[in-house]
Amino acid sequence: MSQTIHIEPVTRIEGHAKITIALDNDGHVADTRFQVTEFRGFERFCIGRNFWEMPGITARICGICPVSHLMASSKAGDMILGVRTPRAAIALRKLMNYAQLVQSHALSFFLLSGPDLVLGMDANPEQRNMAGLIAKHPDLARAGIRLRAFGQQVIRTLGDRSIHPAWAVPGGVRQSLSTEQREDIRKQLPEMFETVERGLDLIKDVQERMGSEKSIYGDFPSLYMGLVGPDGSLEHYDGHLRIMDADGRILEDDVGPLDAMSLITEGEKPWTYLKFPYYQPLGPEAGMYRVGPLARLNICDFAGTPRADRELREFRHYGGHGRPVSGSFYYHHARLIEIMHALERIDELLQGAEIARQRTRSRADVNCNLGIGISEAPRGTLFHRYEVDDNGVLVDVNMIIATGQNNAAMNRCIGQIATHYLRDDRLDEGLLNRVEHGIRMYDPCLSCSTHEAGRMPLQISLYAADGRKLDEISRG
Amino acid sequence: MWLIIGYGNLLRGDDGLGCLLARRLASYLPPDRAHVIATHQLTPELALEMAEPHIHRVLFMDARRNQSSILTYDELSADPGVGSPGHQLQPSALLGITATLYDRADLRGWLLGLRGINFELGASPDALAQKVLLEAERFVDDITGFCCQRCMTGSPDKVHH
Repeated sequence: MSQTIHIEPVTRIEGHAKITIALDNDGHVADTRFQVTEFRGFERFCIGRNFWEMPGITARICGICPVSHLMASSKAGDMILGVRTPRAAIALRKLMNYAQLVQSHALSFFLLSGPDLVLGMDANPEQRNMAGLIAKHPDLARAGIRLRAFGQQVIRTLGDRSIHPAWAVPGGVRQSLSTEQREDIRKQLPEMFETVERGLDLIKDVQERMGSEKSIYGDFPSLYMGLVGPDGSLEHYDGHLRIMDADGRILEDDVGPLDAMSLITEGEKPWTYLKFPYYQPLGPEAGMYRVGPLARLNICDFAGTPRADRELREFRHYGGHGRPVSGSFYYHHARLIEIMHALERIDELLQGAEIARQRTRSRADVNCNLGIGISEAPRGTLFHRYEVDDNGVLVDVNMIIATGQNNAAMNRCIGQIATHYLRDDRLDEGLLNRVEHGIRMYDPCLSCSTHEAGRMPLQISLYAADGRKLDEISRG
Repeated sequence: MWLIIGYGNLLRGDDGLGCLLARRLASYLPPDRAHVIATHQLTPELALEMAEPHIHRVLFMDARRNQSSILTYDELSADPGVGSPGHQLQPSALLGITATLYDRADLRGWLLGLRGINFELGASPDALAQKVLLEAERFVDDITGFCCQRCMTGSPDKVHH
């Protein structure tokens, strides 16, 4: 049975993390472990249900990005039906997916990571939080809230509610948009573009100031994985899977849903419920890959929208010599470029002819006993794989979630931070703050319940080479 | 005018009482008396609803564990830093965010605590929970000054105000 199940948008993580740092005989960091101790068993209790229910059920995995599960699940359902999903439904699904990207990234950047970036990593945790950000930069906070509200409103307009909308179904979607609704969304776009521009200015300024963070916070070679469009463009809903190595060489391309999951092995460790997926041909170490905004911008040939392409060209200078951008600190910047891209795509979709077509659903019964749906969630690539019997009853379910795929990278990132900032054999508030941010850069599901700067429920234990516990510090 | 926000997880038994109550209230409270929102959790963008100029009072409704009385009713202090700001917020934090960002220090807020007992995944509100909902409904009718049509027709479920 798979143990990778989510509590919120991603895998089964909730609330508390435990980090163990082990030292060697010389007092240097020998090992760090980011441990997730929650287990939900979501895949298991889906077995026996009908695949028609899965979009509604799996959206409930997460209160943060239910739309991502809705997309992957309905796409898996499309495959089981064996139908051609109407073009209007695809356009509408994409619209909701982009809106999800906007709201999730806006929250992550402006309100959750914003306090670290704007107030500084060393700011007092009592002030280094949303309240501190609001006090110092109310305009920024207001803009972030508006941007997130915009994304949520688009989702609500389509699906009646922003959390757990039961709207996408196998074969299409339940309802379309009226002309008035489309116009209402479009007229808000200029303000949203302005907010993203401000965010981009801010992150570029932050990156100028935070030189050490850029090089220490999770800067290491890895593979990158995600979807790209048929022309190699930045893609979030469909397309095919691409895997790139640390030098920018494409290892896998044009991988369709039937082959994609065979490239990934879900490694396990006895000390955490969160799995360690890796690229199977290279093994668990060399096959470590990253997903999400940074990976998506690395693997695509171009964004495909003018403003995002302009930003992407500039962003790629951080990689240097045609190599992918390797610093995890750049996840923040990548998120903003993705918001820009999503807003441009939303504008395109709303003006396009396809979204106005009347037919939004194809109907059929089980024509295939296997369904695989892949989409890009805000945090990375999301896989849903269902096996059903001839009546559509699920006999096997596997979901590979973005946060799980970044697990090895998060562990390595924490190791880097600990190695650099640990002083003697003592843990202090400064290290805790930085470790927190190291996790927050990936915006994992864990952050849904523990995002608060300075108050992430976190326990760090420090062990000597002989196994003695030297120190422990916890929060929350 | 009142803004009423009921929140909770409908999949976790009594945790969803706030949300269920909001749905009930939304079905009959006149829109000129109260704007009602039923939601899964408190998120930052709710501050925009709270900041609307016609809103003067906010009632949050949520299930509470270990609460001896069926209902509790407490005025909230505005504090944007309270709790764990992130994907879900505390009512006081939302009140504080609204006051600070949207110049609404005049906005007053209360939390109606609903006694919850069973928070298990998949559980449905039982008879005890239904009693809580009924009491809470009457209470909200009282504080919003609403006398519903069912009172006029002698519904036993309603107190005629």
